[in-house]
Amino acid sequence: MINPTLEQSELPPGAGQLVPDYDLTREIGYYQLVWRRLLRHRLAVIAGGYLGPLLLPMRWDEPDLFNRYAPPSFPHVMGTDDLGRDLFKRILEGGQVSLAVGVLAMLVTIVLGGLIGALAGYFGRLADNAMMRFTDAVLAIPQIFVLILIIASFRQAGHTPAVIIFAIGVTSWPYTARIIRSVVLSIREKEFVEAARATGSGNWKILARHVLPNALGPIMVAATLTIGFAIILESALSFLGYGLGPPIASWGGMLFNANAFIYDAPYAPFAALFPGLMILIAVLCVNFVGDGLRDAFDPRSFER
Amino acid sequence: MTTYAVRRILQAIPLLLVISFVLFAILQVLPEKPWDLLLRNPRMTAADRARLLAYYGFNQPFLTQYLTYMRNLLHFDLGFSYFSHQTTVSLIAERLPNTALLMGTAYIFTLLVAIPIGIVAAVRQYSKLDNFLTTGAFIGISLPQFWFGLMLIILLSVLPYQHLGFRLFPTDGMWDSGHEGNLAHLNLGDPLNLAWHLVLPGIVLAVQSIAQYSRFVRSSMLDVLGQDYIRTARAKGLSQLRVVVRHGFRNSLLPLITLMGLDVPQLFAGALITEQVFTWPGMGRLFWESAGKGDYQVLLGIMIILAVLVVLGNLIADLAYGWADPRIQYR
Repeated sequence: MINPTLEQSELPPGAGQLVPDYDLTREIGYYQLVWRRLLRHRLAVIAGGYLGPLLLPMRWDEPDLFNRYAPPSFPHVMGTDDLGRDLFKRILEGGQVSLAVGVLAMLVTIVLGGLIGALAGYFGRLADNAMMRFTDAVLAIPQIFVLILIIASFRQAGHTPAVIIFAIGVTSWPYTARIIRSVVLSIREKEFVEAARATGSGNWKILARHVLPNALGPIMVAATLTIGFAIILESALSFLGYGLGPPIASWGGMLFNANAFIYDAPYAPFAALFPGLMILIAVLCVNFVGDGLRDAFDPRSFER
Repeated sequence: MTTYAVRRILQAIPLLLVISFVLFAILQVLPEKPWDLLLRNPRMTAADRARLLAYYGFNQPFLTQYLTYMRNLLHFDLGFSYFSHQTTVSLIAERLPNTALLMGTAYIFTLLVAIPIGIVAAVRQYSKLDNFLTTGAFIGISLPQFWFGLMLIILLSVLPYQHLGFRLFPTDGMWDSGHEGNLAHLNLGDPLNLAWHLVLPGIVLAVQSIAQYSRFVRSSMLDVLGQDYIRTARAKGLSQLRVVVRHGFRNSLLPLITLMGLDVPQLFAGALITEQVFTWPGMGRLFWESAGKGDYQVLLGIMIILAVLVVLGNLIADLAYGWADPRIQYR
């Protein structure tokens, strides 16, 4: 819209058409701008809309042994599993579990990775060297092996959600730490950091008030992508028997179940098809949201 | 070049020391202790337990244990399994060739599929085909491997079996009974039978890499196609095919060497899952079985071998890159 306080005649001809969508008089903040750009990334919004309903509460887990391996039909839109439980209900429940595990594991990862990455990037020299060599060491061992080792050793405590989340979190941080370190490295050299130092701010204040807020974009992108990784890891662990055990429904666990009776019944394949499809779609969605966030925070990456 | 190689090898040693120390420390911190499997017998008296722990050296301080372990490691001694009473080295030696065969197959599948896809996508940038391949790569990266494996099993094995009475591809093990061999003893058994068993696991392990590599080849190829020497080649009047194959293709493949080196850990992780889906008797499956038993000597041994192989992979990739691309100057 054009500025309503100006008379039409005061405007240069065609001014209204040049930027028709923006209200030039209203200032919008940085995050509002980010939000608008994100909304313009349609795939990201559709994906967000898909993930949203999964968070609704649902009842689940009603075995019906007379109705095992039912094909998809009216009351059971996705069929039933080996105990006659409705697959659709379990998939919704499993979705909530997967997303919750993904988000919580992401929080652990971001806190650990952010701390290590920011300290290494900001203080540099010895701290940087030591922390990055440590990160290299952790990265050299494939993550799933360490995860199995950690979770297997919690045999007595059982594979509770807390154990799974903790394990995924403490093994995923090196990737985040590397990203955040590189961002902090570049921000550290900016003029406003120098200005803050000139006015007498201490290292910790600069880090908390000037460096981290400016690194928020990449951190949020990394966080989103971490959720996707965590969902895949959790389902892979469940499939290997090291994830959340029954009766908790999780997509990986449902596949673990389906794998066992894959040759048993003509309709058993549906029990293997849908949970994996949901994992794929959920991870794709999370990655789309991550891509959307990346473009929204950094319009220069829009180069196509 | 030689000094660079020597320096890289010298740098790899402290890295491996750090890795082994971290692994050793993790084992001490975890709730279940490495010696718990030894003490499971309920009829043991407290004195028996103490004697057993002392016999295996578990009563000594952490650092002494670590140094003993490292000293044994120099003699290729990784301890022995408390469960099967075989040495860890012999257990791993039995399984490592199987995993190596699986990973080698996956590498070959990946290169055979990803390079053509990447080149076509780059040459026809922003065409419908390119968009289609891009979408495919995006899906391939997000695809859970074990589910993809299950779907292949259902489509190519379960459904044909239920409706036609035979399976297109086998889904478990490396050989059918009667055709067995043993890779550790350089006995291929029936090679055709082995190859037939290798198809599905190879594809499953390769899918994620195919998605990544094709993206990589595409962007690297786009880089190369924008270079001056490509314009020169075109100006000479060479055909599109010759420009792309002789001038573009060979240069765009160089960075792939680095990617292949960096990809080793991910491929090992994928191998663990693939071996689980197809009951392939590899190292990943050995790890999984040992984790179930609480056999920590084997777990630690496998992870140390993995770390060595991963570091070695990076090292070889770095050196090979310098060898393949004379423009790289090492100092």
